[in-house]
Amino acid sequence: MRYFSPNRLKIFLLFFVTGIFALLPMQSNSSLRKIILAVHWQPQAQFAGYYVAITKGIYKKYGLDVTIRHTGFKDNAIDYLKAGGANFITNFLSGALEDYDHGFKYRLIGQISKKSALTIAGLKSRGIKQLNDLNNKKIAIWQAGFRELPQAFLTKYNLNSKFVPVRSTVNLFLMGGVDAQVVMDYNELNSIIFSGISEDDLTLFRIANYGLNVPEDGIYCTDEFLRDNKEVCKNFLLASMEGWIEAFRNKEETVNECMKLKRKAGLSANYAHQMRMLNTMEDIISPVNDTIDPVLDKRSFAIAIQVLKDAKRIKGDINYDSFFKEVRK
Amino acid sequence: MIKKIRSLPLNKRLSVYILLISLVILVAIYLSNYFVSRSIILEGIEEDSRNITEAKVNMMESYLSNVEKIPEALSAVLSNFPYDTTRNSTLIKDILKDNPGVYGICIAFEPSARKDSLPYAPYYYRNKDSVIYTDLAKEEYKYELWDWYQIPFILKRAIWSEPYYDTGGGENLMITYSVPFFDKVSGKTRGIVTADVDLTQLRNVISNIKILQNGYAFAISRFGTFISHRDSSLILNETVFSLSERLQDEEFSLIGRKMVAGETGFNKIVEPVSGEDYRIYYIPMKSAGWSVGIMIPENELFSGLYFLNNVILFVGFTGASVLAIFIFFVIQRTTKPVSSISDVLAFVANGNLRAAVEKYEELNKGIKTSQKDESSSKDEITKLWFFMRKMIFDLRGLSIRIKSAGNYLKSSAGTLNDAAAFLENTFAEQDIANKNVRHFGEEIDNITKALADDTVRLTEAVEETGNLILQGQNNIGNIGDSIVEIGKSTGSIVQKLNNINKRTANISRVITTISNIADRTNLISLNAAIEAEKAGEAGLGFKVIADEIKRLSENTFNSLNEIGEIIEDVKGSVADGVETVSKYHSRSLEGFREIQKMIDDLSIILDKNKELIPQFEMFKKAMTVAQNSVASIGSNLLAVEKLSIDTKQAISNLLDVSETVNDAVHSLENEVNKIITD
Repeated sequence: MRYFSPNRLKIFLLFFVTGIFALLPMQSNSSLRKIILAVHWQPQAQFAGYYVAITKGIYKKYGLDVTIRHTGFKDNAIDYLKAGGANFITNFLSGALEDYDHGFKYRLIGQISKKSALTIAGLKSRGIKQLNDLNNKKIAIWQAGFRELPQAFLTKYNLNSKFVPVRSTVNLFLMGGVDAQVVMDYNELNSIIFSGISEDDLTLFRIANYGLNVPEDGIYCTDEFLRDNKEVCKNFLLASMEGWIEAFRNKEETVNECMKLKRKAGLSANYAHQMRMLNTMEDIISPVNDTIDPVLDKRSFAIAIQVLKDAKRIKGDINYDSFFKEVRK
Repeated sequence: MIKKIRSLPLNKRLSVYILLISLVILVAIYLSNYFVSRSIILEGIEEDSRNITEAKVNMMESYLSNVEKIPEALSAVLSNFPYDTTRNSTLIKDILKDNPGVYGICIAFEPSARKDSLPYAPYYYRNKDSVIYTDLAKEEYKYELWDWYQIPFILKRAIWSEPYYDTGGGENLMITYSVPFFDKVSGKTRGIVTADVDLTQLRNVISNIKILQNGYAFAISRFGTFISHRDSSLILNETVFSLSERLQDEEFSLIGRKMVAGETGFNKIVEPVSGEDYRIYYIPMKSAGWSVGIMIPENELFSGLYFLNNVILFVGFTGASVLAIFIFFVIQRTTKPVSSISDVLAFVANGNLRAAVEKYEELNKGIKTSQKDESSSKDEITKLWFFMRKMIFDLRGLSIRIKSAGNYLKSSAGTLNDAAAFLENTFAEQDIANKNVRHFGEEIDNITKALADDTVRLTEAVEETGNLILQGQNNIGNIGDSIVEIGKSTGSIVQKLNNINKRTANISRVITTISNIADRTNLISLNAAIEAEKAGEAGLGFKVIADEIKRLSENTFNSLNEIGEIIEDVKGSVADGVETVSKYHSRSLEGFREIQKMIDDLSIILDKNKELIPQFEMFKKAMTVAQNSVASIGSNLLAVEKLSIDTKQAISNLLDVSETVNDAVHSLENEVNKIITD
């Protein structure tokens, strides 16, 4: 009992309480590593995994305090990365390869998407029923880009079609101004369907199914950042993938979060559209047993290089190992 | 359910049936009223909706058609005259001033058709009271990619755009009417001239359509996008198809397709946001390719009908309930005697007549005096009540009578039993008497036989005497011996004949005894027959036996009479024999005494002897008759014996029957005691 005299007990308690308080800041935001993720479009279910990783505290669990910056018509995610306004960005593989070829040596640390969502949609009622029906037809495509892969598709199948650049709607296609339109499975395709066109009325050419599977969304960071923050990169990738799994686990909640963000950004918010988008993302990301493989497929990489070279978007070959970095080890 | 109802008491069952039928009628009235009224209301509301919607749509159509005229006129000007910046600027400003419904006007040249001196896309639009000018040909706007430019340019025809927010341009939510204008010479499209309409104004026209309390109108674009809706979150965010997918409402999607296809219709629909039942009337607004729908809440549409139906239901149910209560009491009052009858008869059915009478008396106290006179009542149930009363009292009387009859029968059965026992004893006596008769008959037979032998011998002796006399009178000394022998023989015959007389007297006595027995049997059988008659059906077997006994006793009588007659004959014959023998004996004695003196007069004796022979023949005949009579007695005795055996059997049967009657009487007594315990 003499070892636990009131004085000694007081001293013990003092140390104990001090210890507790010393540990607490580790859990507070101030001790978390602040991270900015710039995603390459406006808020939508295409980025649901990152939203959920924030709302469910997954990033925090990995010691990260992540803020998402959306880009769009007026700005570009890669510019944020270049300017240091973001630690990580998401980008399409083809766009990233072009940038890489053009001298911006950033690194892919996680190829989240496994499948291209690019699809050419044609109306059966307007005679688009098979591949050859696209020949000599006008195909609407984003004025903003993503033209290389559809072009490679046309070239591969000797289709002499004409691309008509459009801003962002499917109205030209719906009103018969073009015969087909390049769409993203998770976006414009839904717009067409929600305009009262049933999926049965459409002929869909999914480019990934024609030997041109160039996956899209991946997570990038600069070479320097990766070199200095390997652990952060690893944690960010793991947390993001966990976020995606969680996003697919409770889709209603996920879509509601997307709707919230869209409304906050003053964008048109359509629940059914976002739900379809999330479902398509699940198909594109293709998790197996709640696990996402973040490794860039070498074959897809080779196809992408070839397509871009053919389109003269890049000048020469790119080394797989210097472009993709496995950060999980 | 029906089984349950069927097992209810009569009054409840009738009430339930009447109530059920009333309810069926009520439901029929309710439904027919509902459906007829409903179809009338629906026809009316369809008409109203059409009128209202058509009026509003026409209003908007004429509004849009006025707007259309402006770019159309400008297009004509631009196709025919060279572009003059100043003149056009003034013209457009004037147009905007004169047409408050037009938000902005743009003349957008095809970029390749641009002449350096001209602006690409001069745009004039309102900002409060002033008109602002801007050139849309700027890098960040790219007007040639906007739908309002690109679609009519490619389609080479005028179109109304889908609603859009003109970011970087008019900065407003609008629809644009775009008309291409052409190069007069080459025919190539030189550009697009547009007139914008502020969507808010059009939406106001639609949202101001009011129908009932919560009815509302909405509009969708040619691709189903909500342009106007009371739920503002739908506007430009959702299409009818995305909304129906979100709500998983296939029906709404189908109606959406019809609307988008420009059809007109009136349908039932589930309101997509509230989930309530609505009626939708939709009509196309052809110029812009829109469809306007009017949503009418059914609960309001049919509120009058619902109220009316509620009134009908209330009145109906109240009426039915009052009716049910009334019926219940009336039926209960009417059928109370029936349940009383059922209660009383339950005791009757259980054989407890006394309890039935007590119950009757108890319940009868509750019956009004006016109801007690069945003759004055035309009510079957009242009659039933009194018939039942009559029945149970009659039954009671009957059972008491049965009981006394049973008692009498019981004592009769006792008497019968005693009689049967007595008869049995008497029969034993008769049996003994029969045996005696037989015995006496045998004795008579023996005596008669001996007598016959003696007679033969006597005849032989007489004949021998005659012979001896005839042979000579030498042996006259022997005649005396013969005469002595004759004297001895006749003495013996007389003695034996007397014995016969004695025995026949005995037979007569026995016959008298048998006759008495038969008399008594006859009397008993007569009594038995009377008792059997009283016992009714139970005594039938018994009566047969009694009759049989009677018949047997009568037969016995007849046989006895015959025997009596025979005995009398025998007695007569024996008496004659005795007389004859006695006569002969005395004459032979007299002859013996006179033999000595008449020995000489042998011829006289011989003559007399000759006279005797025919008399012996007569005697022999009498003996034969007597013998035959004795044989007849034997055979009659056999008949009597046979009859006795039958009598014995009949007595045994009588005893059995008497026992059965006793048992029957006993159980009858039990039954009767059960019925009448008093």
